[in-house]
This record gives sequence, C-alpha cells and structure tokens, in this order.
Amino acid sequence: MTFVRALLSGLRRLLWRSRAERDLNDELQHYLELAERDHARDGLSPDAAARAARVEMGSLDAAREQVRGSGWEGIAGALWRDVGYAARMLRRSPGFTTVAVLVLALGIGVNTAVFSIINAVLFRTLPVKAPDELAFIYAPDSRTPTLGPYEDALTLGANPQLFVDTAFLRGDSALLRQGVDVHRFNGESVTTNYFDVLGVKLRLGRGLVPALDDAPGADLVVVISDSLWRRLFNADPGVIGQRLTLGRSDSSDSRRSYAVVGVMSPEFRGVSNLWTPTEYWVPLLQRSEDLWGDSLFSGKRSVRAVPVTTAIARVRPGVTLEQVQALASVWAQNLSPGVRGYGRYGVAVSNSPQVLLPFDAAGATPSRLGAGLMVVTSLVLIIGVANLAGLLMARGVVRRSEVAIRLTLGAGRWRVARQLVTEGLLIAAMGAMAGLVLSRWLVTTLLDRMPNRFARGYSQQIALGVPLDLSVLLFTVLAALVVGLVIGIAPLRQANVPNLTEALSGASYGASRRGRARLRHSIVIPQVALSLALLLVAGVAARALLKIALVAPGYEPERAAFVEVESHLERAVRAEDRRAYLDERAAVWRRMLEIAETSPGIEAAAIADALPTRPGGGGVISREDFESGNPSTNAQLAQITPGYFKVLGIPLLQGRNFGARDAPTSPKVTIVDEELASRLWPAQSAIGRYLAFYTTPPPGSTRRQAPVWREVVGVVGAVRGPLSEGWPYSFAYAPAAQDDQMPYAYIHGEALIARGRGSDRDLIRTLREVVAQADPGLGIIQSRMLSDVVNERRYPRRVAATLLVFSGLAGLLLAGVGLYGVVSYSVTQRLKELGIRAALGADRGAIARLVVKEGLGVAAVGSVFGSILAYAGIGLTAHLVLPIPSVDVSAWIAGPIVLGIVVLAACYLPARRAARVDPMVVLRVQ
Amino acid sequence: MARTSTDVIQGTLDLLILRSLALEPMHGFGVARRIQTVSQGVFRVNPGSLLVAFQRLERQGLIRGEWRATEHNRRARFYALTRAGRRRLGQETEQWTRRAEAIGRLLESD
Repeated sequence: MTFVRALLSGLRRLLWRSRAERDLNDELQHYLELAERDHARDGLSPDAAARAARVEMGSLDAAREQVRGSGWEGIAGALWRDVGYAARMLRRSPGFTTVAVLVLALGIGVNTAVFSIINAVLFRTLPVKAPDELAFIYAPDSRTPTLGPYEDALTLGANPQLFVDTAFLRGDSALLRQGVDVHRFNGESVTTNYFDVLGVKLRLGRGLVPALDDAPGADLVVVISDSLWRRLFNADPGVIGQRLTLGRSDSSDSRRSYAVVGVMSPEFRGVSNLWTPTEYWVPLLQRSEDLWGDSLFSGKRSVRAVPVTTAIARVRPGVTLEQVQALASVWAQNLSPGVRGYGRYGVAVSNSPQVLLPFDAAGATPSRLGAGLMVVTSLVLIIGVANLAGLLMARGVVRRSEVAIRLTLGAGRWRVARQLVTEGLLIAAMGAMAGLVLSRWLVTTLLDRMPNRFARGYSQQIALGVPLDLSVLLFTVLAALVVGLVIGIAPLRQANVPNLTEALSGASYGASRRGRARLRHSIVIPQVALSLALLLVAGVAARALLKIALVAPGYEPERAAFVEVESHLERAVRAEDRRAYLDERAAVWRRMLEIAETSPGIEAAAIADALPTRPGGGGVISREDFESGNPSTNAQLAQITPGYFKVLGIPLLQGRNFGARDAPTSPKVTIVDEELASRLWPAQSAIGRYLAFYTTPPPGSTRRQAPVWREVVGVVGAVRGPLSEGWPYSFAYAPAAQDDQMPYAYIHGEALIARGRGSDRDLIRTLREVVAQADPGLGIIQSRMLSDVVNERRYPRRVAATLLVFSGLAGLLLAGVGLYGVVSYSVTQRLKELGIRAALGADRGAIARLVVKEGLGVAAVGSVFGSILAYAGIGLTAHLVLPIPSVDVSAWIAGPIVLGIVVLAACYLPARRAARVDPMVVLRVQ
Repeated sequence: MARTSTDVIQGTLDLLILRSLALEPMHGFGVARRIQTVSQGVFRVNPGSLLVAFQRLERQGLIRGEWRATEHNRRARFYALTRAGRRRLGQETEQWTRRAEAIGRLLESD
C-alpha cells in the first residue's frame, strides 16, 4: 500500500513536473511569507523581517533542490535529466553518434549471436530427472562415434558400485514419405531401460518396458516425439496402437511396421543429435533384428554385436566423473581383440551428451571452435571499444571548456563524471539494442544456411532452437554495461581539469606535456597494433578462402541440378525374380533420361552414380602395373551416361566420349581424367591403354576379383572438390550401359542430372515432373542445384571468412577514426606552440609535416606490435577456425600499406587545420 | 537563540511533526514554528527537510495534505494526521519515552 502510494505520487511528480514545481514554489512562498510576518510581529521593519526570514530559512533554491532530489523519483529524475542531456549532446554530433552506435552494434551483435549459439549448444541442460547425476560415455572421435559392440558395452554398465543403471543407444534414422518427397527422420535405437535411466515423462502411453519389449517374439514398438505425433498423426489422442513404417536408410518402404506405444513430451528431444531432434525411439535389439536380421544383409554375428554410440549411466550419489572415466578407460583397454579398434581413441566421459558439429570445421571440436570464435569476435568488440574511447577522449578536449564551466558553476566532479558515464552508457545502450536485433538476424541466417551433414543427402533442416533466453539477454546487458563504463570513464581523465582558469581561457595546461603525450600514445599504439593485427588476420584468411573459391573446380556447378530417388530395395527383396526387378528399375531410369532429354527446359541430361560433389571412391590399376605387380591407385569411379560431361561442362581433352557403340556386349571402355592419366602413364598418351576398376571389397570377402580390362578411349578435364584446396580428384568413368552386373540398375547413389536453360526453380520443377512421369510411385530424396551443394560445403569457411573480413574492415575503420581523434587532439593541445611557430615564420608545409610526423610515428610503433600480434593471431586462427598459411607475403605487405594510407588520411584533416593556424588568433585566445 | 539551536536529532523529525499535527491541521511554517517554540528554540527545522519529511509521511499514509486558500487568497498546503498517523504517534511516543528513560537512567547512574 505504502509502496503503491509512493509509486503513484512519484509518478505524478515526474509526469506533471510543472504542477509539482508550482506546488513546491507556492508552499515555500507561503512558508516565507509566514516567516516574514512572524518576524514583523516581533517588531522588525518589513525589510528587516524579510531579511531575517531569509537568513533563517537559508537558500530557497537549496531547499527546492532538497525536495526535488527526495524520493525515488528524485533520483530517477536526475538520471533522466542526465540521459536527456547526454541525448542532446549526441544529437549535436550525429556523425560521431552514428559511427559509435554502428560500431558497437556490430561488435555486440556478433558477440551476442556467437554467444547465443554457444549457449544453446554447450550450456543446455537436458529436460530429464537430476541431469547432474548422469554420466555420458562415448567415443571422442566424431568421425567414428562408436563406443563398442552392445554385448561388450553391457560389461561397462555392469558396475553396480558406481552406477544405479546404465542405458545404451545408437543413432537411427528412418525414411518417411510425405507426398512425393521422402524425408529422413532421426531416431534413437535405445535399450529398453533408457526412459527409466533418464527419468523423462511421456505425454501419452508408455515408454519402453524391459519385460515386455525385450521378450522374444515381442511386437515391434516405437515411442514417437511430440512433433512427429503432430506431423504424422495430427495430434490424434488415439494414436496408441497405430502402426508406423520406419523405412531403412535408403527406402521409405518396409515390410514390418512398429506399434506406437507412447508419445514423448515436447521438451525432450533425445540426446544423440542436438542439431536435428530425435523423432522416435525404438528398442535397440528389435531394431537391429529388423534391419540386419534378414537374409539380405545377414552376417554371422548376432544382433548383440551391434555397435552402440553412447552409454548413459545414472551414477550413485558421490561418484565423480573421474571415477567413471577411470572405469571406462580400463574397460576400453580390455575390449576383446576383435573389437579393440573401437577403443582406439579412448573414451570420453561427460555430464552432458556429445555434441557433434553439423559441418566440417577443420577438425575442431565444438568447444574449441566456440572458444576460437568467441576470441575473434570479442577482439572486434575490444578494438571497437578501445577506438571509441580514444574518440571520446578527443571529444573530451573539445568539451573541456564546457566541463570547466559546469565545474565553475558548482557542479560537483562526481556530477560531471556521472554525466560523462551516462553518455557512454547511452551510446552503449543504443549499440546493444541495435546489436540484439542484429544478433537475432545473424542467428537465424547462420542456422538457415547451415548445412547438415547428419542428413546425409536427404532433405533435413538444422532445427536447433536458439532461444533469446535470460543468459543471452544478460550477456548483452553485461557487454553493454562494460562497454558503456569503459567508453564513459576513459574521457574522465580529461574531465579532471586541474586548473579552472586555464581550462576556461582555453590554454593547454603547460605542465608535463611529454607525460601527456606518453599517455596519449599509450592509448593509441595498442589501438593501431590491434587494428593491424585484425587486418592482417582477416587479410590472410580472406585470401586463403578466396583462393579456394577462385580455383576453377573443373566443372560448372551453376545451372546444373540433380534429383535422387528412392532405391526401392525392399521391392527388390520382395521381388520373386531379382533380375526382373532390376530390369524394371533400369527401364525406369532409361525412361527418365529419355523424358529429360526431350524436355524443352533441359539443355543436357545424364544419369550418374557419382558427382563431383560426391565422389564414388574405389581404385584402378593399369595393365602395366598389374603385370609388374604394383599396387592399385586410388580413384573415384563413376558410371555415367554420355551426357554427363556436357551437363557438368567438363571438357573432353583427347579421344572420344561414350556413345551408342559402347553397348553391353561390345568391348569395355573407360574415360579417365587428366589427373589420373598423368598418374598412371606419366608423359605418355593414355588413349588405347588398359586399366581395371577395383571397388572396395565387401568386408570379410577374401575372393580376389579377376581384373576386367577396359580400354581408355578418352581423357577429360579433372574436377576438384569444394573444400580440397585445389587438389583435383582422379576420376575414372565407365559407361552405365556396360555395367558388369546390372546395366543402368544403379543400386546406390544414382542421380538424374541436368543442365537447364531457364531459372533454377524451373529446372528443379522440370526434373521433378520427369521423375513423376517416369514412375509416379517413386519417392524423391532430394532435388537440388549443384551450386547449392558446393556453397553448402564451403559454408563454415564462408561464415568464418565473412566474420573475419567484417572484423578487419571494422578494425581498419576504427584505426582511422581513433588516429584521427588522437592527432586532432594533439593539434588542439599544441595550437599555442604551432601558433608561435607560425608567427616565427615556419611555413605551412613544415607545420603540417610536424603533425603528420606524430601520427606516422605512432602508427609505425603500433605496426611493429601489431605484426607480432598478427603472427600469433594467425597461428591461433589457423589452429582453431580454419587452416590458413601463417606467412602470406602479399597480405603482410598489403596490410601495413593499407593501414599507412588510412593513417595518412586520418592525419590529413588535423594537419590541414594546423597548417591554417592563424598565429594572431591563436595567440590572442591564449 | 540561534546559537543554542541545533538540528533535529536524526530520525526524530517525523515524530515531532506527527506530534505537532496531533493538535490541529497545520501548514509547514506552523509545524516549524511549533517545534521551535515548544522546544524553546533548541530544535530548528529547515524548510527543505520539513517538506521532504511531509512528503515521506504522506506516502506512508500517516498524514494527509490538502491545498486551501489563505486569508490573502494565496494557496497554502495544510497537513492533518490520519488515523494511521495517530496510531503511529502513539507507538512512537511510547517507544521514545521508554528509550529516553533508559538513556536517562544510564546517564544518571554512578
């Protein structure tokens, strides 16, 4: 009640200030009158009475101030007036304000964006019961994230003195068809105690139950996520008991289906993949039996040998992660010899699930990449702040007389300081607000464009939630506070004007000029050094990245698209006659190619089982090497139709393309690229020579294939991968019509590719129509432009490069602004000296040179430190973010030159001002 | 008079105001004069502190201020004790007396 009254009355006073003022005046006036009358009654003359009353009351203004400053609204009002004053000051110099806010928005925005992603990736807590009691055990190597076979992993879990219970899982995925498109969903194959170990609550139905779902012959069951429930079942409450087909990894078709027994609550989205949420959970043993138990893929081992990726242990109270780590390490070493490979990289124990990156990040782990990014981005902010502080200091000189006047009029130093800090905070607050908006935009853009290597070719978006949560807001506010305080406090050194009269008369205070110059330089030299370092790091990185982007890939990914369709393996399994099925499938592909070739929107079309963005792998051996017992050579094998080279724009260098004469029965032929040709037959023509293909033999196969000799009929240009820094692949092509086993059957990786005449969108639509015409029942896995795939692969580097280049440019801009501020500060301080020099006959050029010399000297010293810093910075960047050369001569030469030009430009304006000093005016003012 | 006067003891101004207003509604100067005369010039109140104190007490709901016209047709603000104010005055007086007696006893003890 009291609080409300204080709030209301305070607000009244703030909002109707003139009325509050009038009331206050009236009340004091009345008080004064009564006091006067009182004294008059004591017998004083009216004048004397008035004087006595005044003396008694003291200053009316002081009383007014006392009342105004009281209550919460008094403090708020004073702050508000400070802010208003600061806003007026900033409005008066819009150029400075715009630069300052933009620089801070950039700095704070980039930092907040990086922080919010790191926050969402590394610092999330699982929505499970007591997440701090969980220990996650997994293989630290992200390329083979496998802990070991299930039956061996069980022995790790069987440690009742450490663990209450342990669950195991492996990632799973299923293809589900929606309309024409086949989507890939992530799931987890889990042991049936998974939900009990984690302690998660379900929305509907039951979780997995060991007694029920591990029983021999039990029905296949699945627990689905809340989002899958909405997407596939329209949030039907009667979903329990309905059946779901979980397609294998290359087909949405399946013989067996799973009964839905439960729907997960929306908060829990699995533990295996942070970027694309888990949509279903199936019992590990059931799923393994379903996938690998049948004849087509049968091995000799039982499903209990299926590898698991992660163990989730609920530890007993007091058990530390170190104890778990020790146990797990010993376990990994004692794995039976047959499976020892699993433990090669050791095991990692953590209290949160493993985080795999959805893109190739030069081998960096998420936390290291995060730290690296944070270092680079905070460098931008630090340089920005340092330069802004310098700029504000320079402004402080201009404002010295203003500050002096305020001090003379009785403002306390504290009051003046508060004013300057308020200005800094106001700039920072505006920058932070703009930065917050920028960061949201950055986060969505970054995540939208982020490729997803977990999707493995299927259409699947990154779906990481990056909430604008309290810690992100706190981070931004904290950054703004620190920035505001720093840029507010730095100019205070100028505000502490020791001698008011000197300051008022505009003289530069004479004592210890050298000392002040040293202070000034000690601020600007690190600025120049940091800016140069940033410029060099950015320059070297940008050049390295440009080199990758500019190297001709050997083909033209623009205007080329590809479509991948389901392979319908299940149809093959069910087909009575496998040969008949394969023939039918080959017919579908041929039909597709025919339709595409006659389509008006398509310039050229082909079918291939490998693409420059997705090489096939394998090896070749030349007849010469085979006969002299040399080993085979690595090469990418591709089966193509003759249109392939035209679609991709790969030039034919020698010999001929494939054609109608290369029929199944005619002699086997091949085309190699120049890279492979020069490796197999250096300095000789490859045409007319023979080689054989080696595909990777299936595991466990000991039978050596007899070589099938193919005559080289053509040599084409080499192609390069999107990330391989210019190293070309070695491709060996064979006509699809001459496939040994099944011509045109393309068991895996097949795609229809085409070069279009019109827009990208038209091309994609045309290709999808072609598929529908050839076989209406065929599901499309993906239909994309080749250039999109190339860009996607380059994504992490592009992001890193863009960030670095932005930082470099911001650094350069700031170095210029900062130097300008410092040099013009110095000119202002030296006006008297310069005036005397001019009066004594120094010519304008000499004075200008004097000023430029100071700027260049500072820049030179800064450059030396900057180069050292840059060398370290490049090493760090190369280590953490992307591989760049530490010595890039042209960047090292260009960087200082560019900086030098900026320095000269920054010195030019103050130097001109100094040269125009009119000695008479200056000396009179002083 | 001026020489012997002191500022009001910290924290007792509110009590003195409440006590003054207990007799009748008064304007600011009235309260100041009353405190001065009754304390025989020992306590002197400056108008700034007084107005701040009024504002504080008003916000606590202990007094109520209202504008009235004076005989010279000027606006003057009169303050009156509320029921809560009267209750508070009772409590504060009792507490003060107890404390003052205790301090008195302590100071007079040998």
